[in-house]
Amino acid sequence: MGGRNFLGEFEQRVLLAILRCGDGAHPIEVRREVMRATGHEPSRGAFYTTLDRLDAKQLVRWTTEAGAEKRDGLPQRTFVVTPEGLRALRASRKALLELWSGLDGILSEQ
Amino acid sequence: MNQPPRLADWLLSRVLPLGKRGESIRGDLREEYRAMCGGGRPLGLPNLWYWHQALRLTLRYLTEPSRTPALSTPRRSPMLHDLTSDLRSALRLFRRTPGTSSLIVVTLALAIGAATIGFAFADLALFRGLPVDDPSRVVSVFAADTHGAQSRGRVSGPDYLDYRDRSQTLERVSAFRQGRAALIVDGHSRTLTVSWATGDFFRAMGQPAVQGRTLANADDAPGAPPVAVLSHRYWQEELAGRPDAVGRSMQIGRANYTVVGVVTPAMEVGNLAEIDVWLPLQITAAGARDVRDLRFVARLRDGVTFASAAAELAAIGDALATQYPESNAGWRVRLVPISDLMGGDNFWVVIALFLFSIGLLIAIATANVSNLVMVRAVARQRELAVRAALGARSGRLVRQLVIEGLMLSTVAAALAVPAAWLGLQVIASLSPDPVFHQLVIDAHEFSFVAALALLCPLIFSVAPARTLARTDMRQVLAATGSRGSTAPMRGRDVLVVAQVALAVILLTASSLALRSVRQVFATPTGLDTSRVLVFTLDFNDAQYPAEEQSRAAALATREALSRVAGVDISTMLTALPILGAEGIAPITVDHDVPRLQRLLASSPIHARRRIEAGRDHHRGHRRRRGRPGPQDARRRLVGVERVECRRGERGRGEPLLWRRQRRDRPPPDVFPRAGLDHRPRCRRDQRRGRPRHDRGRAAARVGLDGRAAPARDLRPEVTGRSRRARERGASRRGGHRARRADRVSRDL
Repeated sequence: MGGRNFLGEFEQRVLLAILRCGDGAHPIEVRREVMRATGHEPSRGAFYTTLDRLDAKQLVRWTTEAGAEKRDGLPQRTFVVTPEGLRALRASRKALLELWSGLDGILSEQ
Repeated sequence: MNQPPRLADWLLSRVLPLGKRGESIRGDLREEYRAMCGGGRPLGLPNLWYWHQALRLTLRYLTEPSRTPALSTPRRSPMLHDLTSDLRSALRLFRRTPGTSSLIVVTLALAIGAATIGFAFADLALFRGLPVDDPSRVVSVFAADTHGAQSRGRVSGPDYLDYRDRSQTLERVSAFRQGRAALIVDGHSRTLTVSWATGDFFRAMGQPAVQGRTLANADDAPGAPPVAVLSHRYWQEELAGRPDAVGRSMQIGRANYTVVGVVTPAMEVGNLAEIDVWLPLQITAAGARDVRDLRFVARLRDGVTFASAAAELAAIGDALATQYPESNAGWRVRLVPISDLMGGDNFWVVIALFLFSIGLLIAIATANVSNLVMVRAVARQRELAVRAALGARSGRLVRQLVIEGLMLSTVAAALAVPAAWLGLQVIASLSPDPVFHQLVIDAHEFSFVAALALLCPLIFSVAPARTLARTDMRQVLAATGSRGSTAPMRGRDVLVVAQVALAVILLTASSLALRSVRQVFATPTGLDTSRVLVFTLDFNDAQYPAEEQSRAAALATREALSRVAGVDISTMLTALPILGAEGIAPITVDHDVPRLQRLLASSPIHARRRIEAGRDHHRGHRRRRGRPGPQDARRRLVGVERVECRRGERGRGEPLLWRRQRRDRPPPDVFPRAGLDHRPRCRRDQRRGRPRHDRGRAAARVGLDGRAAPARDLRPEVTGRSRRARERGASRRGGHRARRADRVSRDL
């Protein structure tokens, strides 16, 4: 994993939520999934700027479709994780598992 | 379909990234907004939610460092780029230290708000001025007695005519006086505040009509058809601003007046704001010269200086004194620029002290904020040292501090305006005085707030900037800890000392002022106002044309009141003790001087008062001089008279008797209007009609040779004549002057 694609914790959560949403990874659903999984509601500002950051790192890609009436015709984005994004997630997972391994005696709940 | 708040949406459209990225975020917000609006819930909560999200997104995107160059925006200039960068840094700092930032904002908002309230007073007195076009050419003429008792006395009608006819330096010479009159509508009356003015008055003031015309020269000629000009406020409040008001007929008193116009609202300043209707003032040369009840304004002719006009009028005044020594001797004419009329002669001292207090308040606030900013700057020393190490010049760092301060003061100013407005509303609701109702937040106050918002950051950023400039950044970087040094600094000590010193000065001055006011109010006057109810009733000439009729109605009212259960004593009086209308007239005593001297030695104040016969016994009133007897019993419904004596001074040599006089017989138009509509005209009148115990004015007025009047000489009978009624009374009392002079001489 290069330093350029180092993932922060919240970035990992967003990428994973996009993957869990599948084809319908609209920002509203992705944010809802993050909230459901973590029990914490991320602020919209942090969420959208993280999406922009992942896009700038080319870890996600988005397409737009015409918005419905409830959106006053404003476009809706659908996100997918790019192969680079998948690679970054795998590397991050691997690194974290490496770090976690061997610490069960210390970190396991009594 | 419900629409989100437009302003919040506009804000988002300006802040979010351009193109589909930003549009999709706005679309997401609208989708969630519409989901919240479902189910027929009120829109307040969704709108609030939308605003909350818009502001949070705005703050986030403004502070988020741009990682990619903006493709769709042109490249900005370096200075603009630096400015934007500093603003982002300031916003980030606001987010990082919300407690300190909020404290700074609240401190500044309170200080600027309080200063704005103070400025509104000064603005009303200094900058708004009088409703006069080209005020540098307009003068007011006063009659001043040579003993200085009245420096701004009014002018009698015949004197006014002489000044007008003889003057070559003045033009549009006009006079006016204020009073009350009864408007009769469908057999019922209501009281109007009226100003009688000569035809040239509005031309002298340079104020036009917004409907129809103002008074003309022909209107005040004898035999002219009666016309009336409405004030803009009266036109709006009572006639709903109807254009057909012009041409209508109004019965005022016994005459029917035709409305010929509506005067501009610019006239509604100070006491002029109380006027409902302007009527023509007819002045004849046959009037009494010692009845000085007219205010007098005029314009300087082109090319005439103030000094030459004053000299000419002084010469005319001397000629009149020679021609009419009985009425004009001892009086001189005084010219005052109309721009100096606001307040008294020393009004500038009051305003200067007021502005000084405002300055102190701002100084304390900025010292406080400066201390907070310095603490924060010290805590950020390491961050700033890193920026300096990376090449940032000290000027750039100082600019960043100033921009951070500007941002905070801008937010504070935005909060200070509604705070000041709220404060003015509270003041207006607490005080009946009309001047408080004229305090507004307008362009002047906005400019003042903007100036403070610009000035304060420059002041409170100086100390932190100096601290940074003197700090050795190498030592800061070498020091342990990531937040920089928090060692005490001399600058902070100086700030604390300055802040405490300023606060002590302000608190001392405020406590002294409060103490003075409290002492004035605590001065014993002998007035027992417990369980005394006060109200004002008016009779009018139309309903009670004969004096006997009004008197009978007054007595009937009193008898009816005395029969009301719970009413112990009911009595009536034309003027309030202490607060009543009174004037001063000099009388030269050319006989029995030794007795006068004995009188002066025994008591500086010789006071008598006459009220309804027998009524004072119910109150245990002890007369200082004389006893109630048949002579008093024959007096019905007379006023209060106080006689004051003092030695002649200011170089005259002979003893003088100064008589503070009040009317013996109240004029019919200020008598109770029994059985008629007594409702106050508006809330302001209602407030004004309540009893006022203005002991401050009383203490200043009653004093003789610097001493206050014996309190036992003054007792309340009935309080509560309005100021207008007192002014009206003051304008009529001169007619009984000769008779009173004889009586005073007898008393001596």
